[in-house]
Amino acid sequence: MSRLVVENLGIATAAGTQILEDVSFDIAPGEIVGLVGESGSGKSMTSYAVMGILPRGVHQTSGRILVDGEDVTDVERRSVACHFAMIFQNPRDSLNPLMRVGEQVARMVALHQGVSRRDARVQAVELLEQVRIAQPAEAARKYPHQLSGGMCQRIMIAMALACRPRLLLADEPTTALDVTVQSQILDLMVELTEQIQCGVLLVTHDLGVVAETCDRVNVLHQGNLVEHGPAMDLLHNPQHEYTRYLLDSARELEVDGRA
Amino acid sequence: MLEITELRKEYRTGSGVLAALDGVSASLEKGRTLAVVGESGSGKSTLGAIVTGLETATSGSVVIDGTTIDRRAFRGPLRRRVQTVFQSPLQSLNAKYKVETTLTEPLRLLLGLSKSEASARVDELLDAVHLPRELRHRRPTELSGGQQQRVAIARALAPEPDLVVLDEPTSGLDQSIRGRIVTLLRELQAERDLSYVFITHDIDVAQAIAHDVIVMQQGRIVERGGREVLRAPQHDYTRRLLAAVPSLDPARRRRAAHAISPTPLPHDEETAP
Repeated sequence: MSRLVVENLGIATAAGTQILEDVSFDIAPGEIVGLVGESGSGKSMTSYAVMGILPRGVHQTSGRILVDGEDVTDVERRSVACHFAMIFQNPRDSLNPLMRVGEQVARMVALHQGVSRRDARVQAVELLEQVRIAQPAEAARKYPHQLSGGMCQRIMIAMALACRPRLLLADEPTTALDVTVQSQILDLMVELTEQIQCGVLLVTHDLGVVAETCDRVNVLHQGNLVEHGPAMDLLHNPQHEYTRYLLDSARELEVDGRA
Repeated sequence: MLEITELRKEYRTGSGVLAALDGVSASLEKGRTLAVVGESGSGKSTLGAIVTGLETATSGSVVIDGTTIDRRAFRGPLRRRVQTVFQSPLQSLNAKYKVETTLTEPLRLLLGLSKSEASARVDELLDAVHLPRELRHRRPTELSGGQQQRVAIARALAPEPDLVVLDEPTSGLDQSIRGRIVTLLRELQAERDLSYVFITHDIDVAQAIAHDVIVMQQGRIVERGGREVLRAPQHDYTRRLLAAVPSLDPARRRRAAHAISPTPLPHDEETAP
């Protein structure tokens, strides 16, 4: 059974501008599905709609969202029990600057697992270890500004893991990071997805990132899904003109002799 | 044109002195591009800030066409001759200014043109960066990211500079826009004989625009040379950087990664400065 099914999703602004039209895709357990497109294509809005956090003035106009076969189209039903987690582009902006990171992870653990604060703190340190933070107990006592961007994104991933996610929505999770850190974070995501068998929707504009991580990919253009398929097929044999354009742009600069 | 000698910049931190730049020397000839490549904390932006007079060095010197840069240098002609383009055009452009105000201001202040002369020049500048002339009446928030960056480039060109320092000018942009900005910059360089200091962590972009390259790590230059440095790097750190760039052909990246000795990268485990 699919972890996530999105059927005929439509989103519009209060003023009536259609942002997304008739978008359908699905994600299997342990699968990373890419959502690519340029700025304004509607890829972030798609992830917000699935997460149930559409900005004010934007609403869903059509479609269904199913998680493990259960209809959760009604935002009220996408509660804590749904086990959705999301990570964003700027991890430091997503963290509370005034709270030690270990405490932030522990609160997620307490919220989702109903354990005591003491146990939550112990589990938080274990989660930091799981996202490959060296000296996790020490790191737990730090504030976000004391950590690098890559470390902050690891903390965000630890918080996501705290809710034992069935679905992880990752909105440009590595765009703000250095390339070496990006590759570490992507490797971590691939590994954890495999390990906990969650489904991942990876929103990105970087086709190199798609090639490295995604099993399947959806291409969005001006709110419409123009092409979808297995990542390697789509990248090597694109059918739609827009996908070809994106690939040409990406290849334009790629260093020939990199290897 | 630009001669950087033994540049050192120290910042005092809670736990002592941090050398953001530690003995950096480089030079750039007229009409050429020096790409400064490195990750966060490598000192590349500090280098750009010193060349543009936004920061002062602790020691060492920067000489632009015979003028040594110090606190006073940018009160003279260098203020016109050295211009900057930053990463986030939305943050670097004045949100309240229409495009034409953004472009006429340097023309009036730095070239001493009259209001009408400056206004007439705006169309030329928009043409130069391939933006439709009617955009002169828009404000930054009414433009796309790529258009905003073109306006920022036009603003930098307005006072007819010789040297432009570009600090991650393509980083916030879509992959599809990135290539077009690089093409534009190359075209402008050829037309106007501009010299660029191009600061970037994006190796593909650096490779596409550089004549000369310096690769920086923790305030020092670890590798330098022509753009071929990015094709056949000698230093382990440069190899690591290259191997980390996601490729449309992941197998190629994995092959590159295998060529590197297995010492761990300290970078991610460090705390931010």
